[in-house]
Amino acid sequence: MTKRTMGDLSRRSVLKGSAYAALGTLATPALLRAQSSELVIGCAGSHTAWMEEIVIPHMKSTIGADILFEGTKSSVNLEKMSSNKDAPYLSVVQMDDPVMIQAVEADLLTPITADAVPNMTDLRPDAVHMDGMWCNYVQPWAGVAYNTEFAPDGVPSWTTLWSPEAKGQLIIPSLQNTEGMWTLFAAAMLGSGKPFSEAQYEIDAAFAKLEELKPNLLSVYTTMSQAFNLLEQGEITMLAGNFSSYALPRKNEGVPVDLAAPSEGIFAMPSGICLVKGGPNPELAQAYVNEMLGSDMQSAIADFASSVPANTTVTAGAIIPDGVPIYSPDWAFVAANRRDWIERFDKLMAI
Amino acid sequence: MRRLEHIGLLALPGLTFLAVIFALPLFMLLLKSFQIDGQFSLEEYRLFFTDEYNMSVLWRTLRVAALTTIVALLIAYPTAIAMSRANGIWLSIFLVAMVLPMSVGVVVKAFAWSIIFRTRGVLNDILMSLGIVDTPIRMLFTETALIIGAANVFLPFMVLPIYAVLRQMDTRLPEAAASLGATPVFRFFNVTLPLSLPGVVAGCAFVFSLAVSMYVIPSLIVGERQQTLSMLTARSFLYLRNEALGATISSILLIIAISVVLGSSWLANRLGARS
Amino acid sequence: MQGSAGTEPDKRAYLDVVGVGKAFKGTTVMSDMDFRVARGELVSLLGPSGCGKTTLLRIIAGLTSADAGDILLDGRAITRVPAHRRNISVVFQSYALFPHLTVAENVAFGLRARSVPKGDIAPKVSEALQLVRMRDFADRPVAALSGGQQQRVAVARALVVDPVLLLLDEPFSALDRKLRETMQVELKSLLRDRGMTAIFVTHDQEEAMGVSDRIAVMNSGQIEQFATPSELYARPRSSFVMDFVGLSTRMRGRVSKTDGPVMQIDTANGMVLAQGDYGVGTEVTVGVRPELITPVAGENTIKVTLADAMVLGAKTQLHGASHPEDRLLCEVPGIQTNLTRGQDVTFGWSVKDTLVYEAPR
Repeated sequence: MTKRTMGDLSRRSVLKGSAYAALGTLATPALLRAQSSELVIGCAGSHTAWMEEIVIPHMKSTIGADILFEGTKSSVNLEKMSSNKDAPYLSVVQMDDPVMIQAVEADLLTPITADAVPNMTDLRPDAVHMDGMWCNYVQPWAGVAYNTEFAPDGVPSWTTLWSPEAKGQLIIPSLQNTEGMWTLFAAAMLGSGKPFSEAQYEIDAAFAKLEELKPNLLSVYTTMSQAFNLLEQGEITMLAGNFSSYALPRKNEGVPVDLAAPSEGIFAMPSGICLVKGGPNPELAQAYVNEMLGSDMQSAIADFASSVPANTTVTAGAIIPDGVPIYSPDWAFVAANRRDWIERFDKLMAI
Repeated sequence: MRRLEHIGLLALPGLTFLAVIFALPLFMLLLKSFQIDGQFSLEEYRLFFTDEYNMSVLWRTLRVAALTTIVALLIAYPTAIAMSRANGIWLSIFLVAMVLPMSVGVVVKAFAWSIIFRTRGVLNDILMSLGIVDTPIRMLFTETALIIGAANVFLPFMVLPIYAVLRQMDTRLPEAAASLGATPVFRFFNVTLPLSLPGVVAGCAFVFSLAVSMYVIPSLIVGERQQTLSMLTARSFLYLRNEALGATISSILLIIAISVVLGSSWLANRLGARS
Repeated sequence: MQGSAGTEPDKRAYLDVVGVGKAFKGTTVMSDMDFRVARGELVSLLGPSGCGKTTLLRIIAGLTSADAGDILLDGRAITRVPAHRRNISVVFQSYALFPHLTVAENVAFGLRARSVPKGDIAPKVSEALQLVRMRDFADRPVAALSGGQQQRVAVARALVVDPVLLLLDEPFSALDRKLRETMQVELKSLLRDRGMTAIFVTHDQEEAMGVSDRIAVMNSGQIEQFATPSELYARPRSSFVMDFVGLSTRMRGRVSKTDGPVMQIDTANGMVLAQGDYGVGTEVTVGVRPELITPVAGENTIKVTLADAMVLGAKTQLHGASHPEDRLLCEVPGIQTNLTRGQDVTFGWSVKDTLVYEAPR
């Protein structure tokens, strides 16, 4: 990696630059190529706070890595990986499980092994996927965020979203966002009347129920921070699909919001970490993943982001609300159908 | 003549830059939109234009762009007139007021607008305290808010070309008109307005092109329920992973933009030829 | 100084500018200006740039407002009337033709602005263009016209609306000399034929003398003299007017002796006699029009060494070597080839042709 010639570099950078210009949406931070101690990490935009505060200083002191992180949506991370497949510039990507499946299908990942990443062995068994293609490092839980001043009773049930009092008081995520799935699955349960394990395949029933939600919708977001801001301001009373790693830190800062766990069930946010196939600095990348899965980082992130740690040796972090089932969907089914769902959802929700 | 040819070389860096960074990828994109499995095909276009939803998005995109252009023009024209007559410190204040907001990111602006447009926001407070409305009007996530917001962002691109033309206009022309008995209104419609049309056309072309292809502003102001062509393009590339559809929509956007630019330069030439 | 009409302040002329003052950003450019023009008169405002002549024109037209004073037209105060209701046409220096309109549309502009019925416009436009011999150009864009043609269109556009007064701001300055003279003659007879009252603004004294019945010579926001061209030339009321209108021999001097109406003045070129009543010791400027000087001795005679003899065709100009502040100039008819530089000659003229002004202190 470090022996790459300048000519090679600049030609590649230029090509990359033009490819980005064609896409018109992606920035070109990669023009500054990683040096030996640099790692470019793709992660979720909502992770910005704890990546900056916890991860970057920790990585500098433990493994001597200079972290450059590009926080964006999982699907954008996937697009960055696939359009740079021949010359990856990201070493590690942290994104959602359904997108991980797509990345595996596109042959963009290299497996994490216990030899290179010893902390992997301490993880809960269900946190390691497809023979180590990716691991879950934290699991925030998702329910419905609400404004405690305008909805003092909270959100006892998912049916509250459909109530007449909620007219114009609700924003839900687009299906383009991973957390958008939760409204869809809640609608599937309510629409089909079946338990989650069966209801998650009842997509027609889900869309039929979602259509009934339209009068209550102020908007459908793809940028969560903006929607959350409206919730904080009381412009809306409920924000569906929101999760503990975002809502609870805000609550702890004294903002009048809280995260409700509706009685029908809550959902486990699938936060995965993976190694990019052929990415720069592979050894350092493995060290990074090992640190992320280690007890120090696990407890720090779980505390900061109010999430359930994946490392079984760690006891810190959020407690999953009592008496409410927590669901994890069939991500393979989601990955296979998501494109169709997005198109169907956009058409259904269009004004 | 030789000197002129040499001066032409000065455009070379710009042209090269545009060719590599802009024209080449765009050409590749166009190619993609006409290909299915390596074969030339118009199928993607047929699919696009036969989809009712896509057509509604296309129609909304054009409508929003047109209305944004009109609103921007109505606000910009008087501003440009005032600026063309201002001097010294006032002109500086105007120019700074025009240019400075461009350095504020659209995201910041969008948050600022949500303060204005909220149900319990400034605008509704004013309307209610004036007794114009009894209950708050929903303004967030409406096309009206989008048009006002977009017009705000693109206003300098309308003001500056009109200002430049008005500034160059011989100030004796309106005076000559006055001495010939023309009232201020008659002077405006028969002298100032026709002479400023090249600037108006340029400003409209700028704003329409920007508005028809805007992405961040609609995604922040109206969200996913009222998609525009750019949002559809991003969705095709990023979520649907359908490059052919993305390329097709981009090409349609490109064709709209090119038609606007060519049409307006033809119009500007026609208007300019007489003066 | 006052013009001839101004000597009877109670008597209204056609245009009365009374006590007008104007300041721009605290700088006074004009104060207590009186200026009166009779109906049908062609008048020029003549002066160097910055003398306030264009400001006065714009105030009369209503394009600039006066800070003080009144404008009366035919006895009616128009001071507060906006330009478009004064019915005063202006021909601007660069003509200010509307570039987006054709020749005919330019001429029709004022008629359209006055809501003249459509059917009446075309014949009036055609007639006006005929008047300035531009009918063949009616459908041309104005940018395609030469300077002289543009000026004709500007005049037609100004006259077609039957203005009560026509103002022309340096109307000939953009034309070359030959064309300028032709256009002056043409325009003057056109205005005379129509009995038009017109005011020209110019810095060119030949032009002013050529087109005007009377000329107001302006300096520093004041009218120094308002008189017919011949009076202005023969009896300039100040050394400024003498210098600005036509050429002259001028010498600085001092009154050394008075004898009734005749003064004896010492100059660098010797003693000169002149009529006047300045006291002994007064610093004065002595002037003589060059064609009134002959190269032989007269009532006043000075010895001059020739610095140059310029043959100008119909006349020959003799320039004498002089003190830098003085000027010695004599014009003799015909071509004089026997005079050369360095030669000593005599300038002689009569006492009554000698002009004397008190020198500014």
